[in-house]
Amino acid sequence: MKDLNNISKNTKDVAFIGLLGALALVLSGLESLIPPIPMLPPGAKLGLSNIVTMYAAGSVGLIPALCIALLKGLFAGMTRGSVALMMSTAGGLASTFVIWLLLRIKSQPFGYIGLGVAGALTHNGAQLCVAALLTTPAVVFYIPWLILFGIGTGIITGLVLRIILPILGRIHT
Amino acid sequence: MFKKKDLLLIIPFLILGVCLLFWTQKSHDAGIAVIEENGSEIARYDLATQTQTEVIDIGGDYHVKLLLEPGKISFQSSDCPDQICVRTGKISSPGQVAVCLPAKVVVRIIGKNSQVDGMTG
Amino acid sequence: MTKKKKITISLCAVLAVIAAVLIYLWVNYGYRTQSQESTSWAMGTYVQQVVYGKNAQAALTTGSQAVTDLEDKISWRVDDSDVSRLNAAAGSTWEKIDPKTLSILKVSLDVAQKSNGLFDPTILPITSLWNFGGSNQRVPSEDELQKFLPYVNYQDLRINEADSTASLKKHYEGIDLGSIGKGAACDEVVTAYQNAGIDAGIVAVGGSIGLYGKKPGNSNWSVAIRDPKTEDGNAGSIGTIGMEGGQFVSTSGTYEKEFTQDGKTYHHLLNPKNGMPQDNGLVSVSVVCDNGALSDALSTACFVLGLDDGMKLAESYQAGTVFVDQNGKVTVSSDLKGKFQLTNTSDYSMAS
Repeated sequence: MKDLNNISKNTKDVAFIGLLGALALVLSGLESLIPPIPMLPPGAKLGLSNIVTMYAAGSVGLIPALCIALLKGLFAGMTRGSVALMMSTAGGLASTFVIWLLLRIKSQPFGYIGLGVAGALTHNGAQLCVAALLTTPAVVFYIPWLILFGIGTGIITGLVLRIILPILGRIHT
Repeated sequence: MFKKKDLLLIIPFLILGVCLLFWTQKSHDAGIAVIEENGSEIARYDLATQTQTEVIDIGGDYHVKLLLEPGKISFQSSDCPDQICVRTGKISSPGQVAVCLPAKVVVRIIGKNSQVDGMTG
Repeated sequence: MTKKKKITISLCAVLAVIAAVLIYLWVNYGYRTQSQESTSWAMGTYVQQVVYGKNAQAALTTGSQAVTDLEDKISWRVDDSDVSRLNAAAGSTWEKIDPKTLSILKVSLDVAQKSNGLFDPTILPITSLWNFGGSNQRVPSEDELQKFLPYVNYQDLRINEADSTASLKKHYEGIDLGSIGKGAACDEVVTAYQNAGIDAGIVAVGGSIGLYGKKPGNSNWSVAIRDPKTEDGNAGSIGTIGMEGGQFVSTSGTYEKEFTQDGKTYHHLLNPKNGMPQDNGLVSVSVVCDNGALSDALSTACFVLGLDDGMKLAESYQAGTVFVDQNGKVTVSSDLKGKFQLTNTSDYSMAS
């Protein structure tokens, strides 16, 4: 009886992870439809899909969460080319990892907004590193904008996550 | 949702971002557009003395073309998949940058006074 | 290791890597790398330096020292300099001189020969009469000029490379390296930069400029040409030249030293054949080449030669030129066409 319950639970988890992955891709696709604003660096996104990886890092464990981040990267690669693949993957993996680490701290010093900002800043930072190494160091000019923009999107991401948290939680169980 | 320690994270970065921003932005007179390919400068144009509109053909794998107008410059076309460079639109103020990552072409505007290293005569 | 420690360490590692890469990029490519500056005084003018990289401070010191060291060798105003001794020994003995002085004399003689004497380092007898910049600067009389012009003859300056000696054939002859000294000083400073191991530097000795290395961010240098119509303290520019490390530029302009007597203005760029300021409609000539002394000598020579002959002379040395005339017309040699940008379009226009 116990084994059956476990299998059932595992299948549920896998299904849920798949659902999260699909959600991440959909959000990613929706985001790219928004036209870029001039002052902001190319590829600057609202980070809506990061809500999913943030949630995954906290609910289904590190490895599945990283897989979702990887999936997002591959999707970016298929639609926008190899440079986008590297950038998105690096950003996704780094931010997911950092959020997972922060959530492991028992005292939980940061709230959802703090986590969102940490994730967004790490995501942008890692993306910029890859962009600079792969193309030209001059992209370093975007650092100020990426910091400020990262703080903004991080706050939004954190807020949205807090709001939809109960919904995602109910789907999970 | 929001904890006090969040500010410990946000405020330092906010200050850092604003400071770095001030360091890169200059005055608001029309500036000089510096074109870089692969990290090295290949040309520069004084937007203030630009009287006609011309197309600058950078070429390369992505057939990049820039549009140089009086006081403004922009990516006119590129074969890159994202087209983010083109969608950036026209830039004119010191500090503004337009980039085509796949083509490794950077167009940035610098202020007039900062560009001269010395004077002869 | 406790779990909390593991977390902290992993977190720090990830962030440290990202931060390290970003900081490295910002410092090297953020175009804000530290530079060190210094302004000193030598050869009767200011010496301005801006250097980048480590050992910057040491480079600045050796740089300004290099200029004063050279001045002590080549200035006729310095009592025991090589040139002073040569001038004192004119018409009698051969004097031993420093190899640096010798190489500068060699460049002067080469330009003198190729310009058929319209550039002449032995012009001291005449420049002494005018005394530009001195308290008693004046227009010499026709008699005075006729009396001293015969002593202006570069062919009477003999050099012996083997034992580093030189001599002026006749008494009363004299060497004035004023139109090559500042460029030569730039050569010395750039060599000092090389020895100091800095990344890049720019030195200005009066109107002569020397460049070394590439500016942080791998970009080239931008040097403005002074607008003759503007005041010294608030100098505007005609345009800018894009230049690389290893290049030098010097400018000879009428406005540098001139005075007015009886309603007429006399400038310091004299024609060695008649001892008078060369009046050919030019206001300034800038020369770009890979040697400082040469750029300085050529800027004077090309001014006196005028637009057509001057440009030809410069071409024979593979040097680029920018000629500015009284009507605001700017003529640029073909090799500089892509590198020169006219910025003052209201007062000046490009010759086609």
